[in-house]
Amino acid sequence: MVSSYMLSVLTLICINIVAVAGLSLLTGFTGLFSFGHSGFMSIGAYTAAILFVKFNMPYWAVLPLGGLAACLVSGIMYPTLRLKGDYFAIAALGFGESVRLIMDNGGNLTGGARGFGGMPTLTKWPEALLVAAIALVLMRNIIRSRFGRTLIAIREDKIAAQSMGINVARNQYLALAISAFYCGVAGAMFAFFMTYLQPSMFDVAKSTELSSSVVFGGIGSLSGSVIAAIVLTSIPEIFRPLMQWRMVFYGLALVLTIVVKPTGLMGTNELSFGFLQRFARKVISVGKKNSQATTKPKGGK
Amino acid sequence: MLFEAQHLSKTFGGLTAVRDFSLSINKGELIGLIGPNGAGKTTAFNLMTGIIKPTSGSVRLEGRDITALPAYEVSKLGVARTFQNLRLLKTVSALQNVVTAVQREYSYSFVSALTRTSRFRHQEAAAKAKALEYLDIVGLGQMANSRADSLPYGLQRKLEIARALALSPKVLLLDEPAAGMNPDESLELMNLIESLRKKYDLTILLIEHHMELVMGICERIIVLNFGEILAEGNSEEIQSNEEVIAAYLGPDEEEDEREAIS
Amino acid sequence: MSTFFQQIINGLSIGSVYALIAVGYSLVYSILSFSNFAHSSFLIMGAYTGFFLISTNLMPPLLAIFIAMLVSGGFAMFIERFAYRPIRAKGGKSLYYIIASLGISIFFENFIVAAIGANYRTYPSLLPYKAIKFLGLRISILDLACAGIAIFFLILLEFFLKRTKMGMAIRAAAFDLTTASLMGVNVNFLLSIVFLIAGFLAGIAGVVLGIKYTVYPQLGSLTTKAFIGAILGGLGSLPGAIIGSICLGVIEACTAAFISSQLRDLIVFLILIIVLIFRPNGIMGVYVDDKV
Repeated sequence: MVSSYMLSVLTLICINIVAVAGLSLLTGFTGLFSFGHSGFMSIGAYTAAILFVKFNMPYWAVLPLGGLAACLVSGIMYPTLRLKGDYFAIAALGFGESVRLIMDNGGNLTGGARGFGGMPTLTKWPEALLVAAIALVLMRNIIRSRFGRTLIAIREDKIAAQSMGINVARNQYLALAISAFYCGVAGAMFAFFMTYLQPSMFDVAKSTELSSSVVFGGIGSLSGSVIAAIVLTSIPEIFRPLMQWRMVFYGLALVLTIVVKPTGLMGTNELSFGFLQRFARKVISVGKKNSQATTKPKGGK
Repeated sequence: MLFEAQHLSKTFGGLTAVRDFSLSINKGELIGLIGPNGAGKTTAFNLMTGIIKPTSGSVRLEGRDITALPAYEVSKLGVARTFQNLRLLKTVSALQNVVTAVQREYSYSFVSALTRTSRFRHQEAAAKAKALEYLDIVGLGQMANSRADSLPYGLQRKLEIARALALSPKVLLLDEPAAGMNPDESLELMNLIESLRKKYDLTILLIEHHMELVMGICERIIVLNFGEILAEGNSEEIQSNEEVIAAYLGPDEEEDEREAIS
Repeated sequence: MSTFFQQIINGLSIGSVYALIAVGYSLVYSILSFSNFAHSSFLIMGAYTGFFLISTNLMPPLLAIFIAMLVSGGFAMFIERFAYRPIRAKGGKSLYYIIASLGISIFFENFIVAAIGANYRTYPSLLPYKAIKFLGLRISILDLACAGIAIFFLILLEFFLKRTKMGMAIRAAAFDLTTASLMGVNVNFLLSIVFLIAGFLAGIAGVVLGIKYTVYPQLGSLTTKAFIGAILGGLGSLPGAIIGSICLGVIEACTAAFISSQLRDLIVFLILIIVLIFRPNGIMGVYVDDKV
């Protein structure tokens, strides 16, 4: 028996999967770390909400429009792409916070800090699942194509990429725009899940959650990011009573992962039958070694 | 005249790395660029490939001025290079390294990629096949699916050459392709370069420290020292050039040599 | 006009506290080339430790504050030893440092919320709530103390960096860590000292901010402002961190007074983006691109 609570968790998971999948293109595959992607979710959410509530546009139209709005706004960040890693992340932080503050001060348009409401619950689990599935398939198709390879080359070595004829800036921007689109759509879905919006829902903590999902799952692994998103979204819901401690464990887990296995849960591997087979074989061989060790007779004197 | 550098100079702050560097390469030539460490050879390469911009001077490819073009444009126009310290895409396979270079010739639209059209599948297969060809030629066919950073050093260097080849370059700039190799490996590499040159009718500019090899295969040799061209000529002329000897061994030792002989 | 100068005074006061934070942050950046987001944790550690020690009334407040600084300094050293050093041993990619520091800040802030509670704690009053009237301007004793403490420690730091052997080693390491180690500098020890200093400074800033604004787990978010100050002045440059922070403090104060207090933070972030687009090296910094 699946409770409606569990179904709403599933919906939330799907929403986060869409956002994380988009961000993984930018962070995992292009190598640009961002602290501001909740800003794109915010833009998508508010755009979709306003278009629906004030202009009566249908749900399935406002979702991609929310994505588009976020995508267009991402153009502002274009000049910051050439900055070194840290600097870009901070610029993104500035962007995300700016969006939040603008929404806070949006007066009647966005409802300001009080919030913007009036959306019906149109994002239920079937819709969310459908969008997430489509999002994942399209993302996988991007990654396993010349576009994905180009981005990976940029991540690995920008100068080598240039020497292969790759226009680094333009491709980085492509990754940014796509990631913004995905986060915008996720934000739009979110608006019709929560049924009301407040700028504080899209703050640095949210951005950090998204980015760390990508890292947790493994830079360069889409399936890893998805798994991390599933885990990180569902754990707090499962352990509701431990709500306060979930972020404590989350932070700790993040540090430990990076210190012990910086390549993340999956490294650059994708979940596939081959991967599962290899993993199973490894586990079996380790098991065999241990049992051999214990059954070996003690060396004679 | 396929490729020429005219009076290139580069100053970094107070340091002049390269001064009045000029060189011209004709189609099909194999030219060597030598000089002591720090002479400015790699800087010259960087200037010629657009990675850094010269303080003055120009670079021309087939008569066209490419000096101000960004590095990726220069690459697209047909100037390929390898790097002294290797710049492979470490965490991906050898095959992917080469496919990323060769895919320029096998394009398809973004929408095609999203929807997996038959054009997409056809181009991908063709790119992969072509890349395998290049890998086979340098001897990496068997290791196509190995991660680039798991390859032994010598094969990594060959991979970088395969990648540069995959760009179908008009001019190929090799920056110390045999760096870190023992004499046998270097010899093998040089033979490989020679055979690649014949097979693909390449024009090559080569930086190297292994003198015997440079002298052996290069038709013309340019000597760089302290950022300036010291001498230019064929191997006999260079080997007997006193200034070149002094540059490598140092003037004092040259004196000692003379004293020892007399 | 006097309001303008009043805002300058206010700005200088908060700016000097930002400077204390920014300097420690920039110091770490100059050596390890990464933005230590855990810096906010050092600050909170200092604020809470100071609060609890002073509240127990077991010791003179100055001693309590000093111990709070030592605790936050020690905490910083602990983080370096157990989180950052293993990363450095594995190659030290900037990204890994950042994420680890992020994890630490998330862990610590939420730990405080979960273990100690999110309520606002007010420091027992240590200073009179009076203000000095000077040339028509009001300067609160508290602000004066803030600025005074900040200046004192910054001078101390300057002395340390310029006149001691360790300080010289740190400056060498900031220039090039690898070369410094090749010249015999014990890098592990040096980094411990650097983090001790950074934690120290963040700790005293925490105490000061705690006194000024009360102590709460999100107090650390003020470090974001300090980061922006450091960037404004040039990330990696200590004088830059100070100048940038003070400028930021003044800009903040003026914006809040003359434009709108709500738009204050927005304008600060917009300034950040504009600076990063047009002059990422900040006022004084050195912005290094990849070597080919």
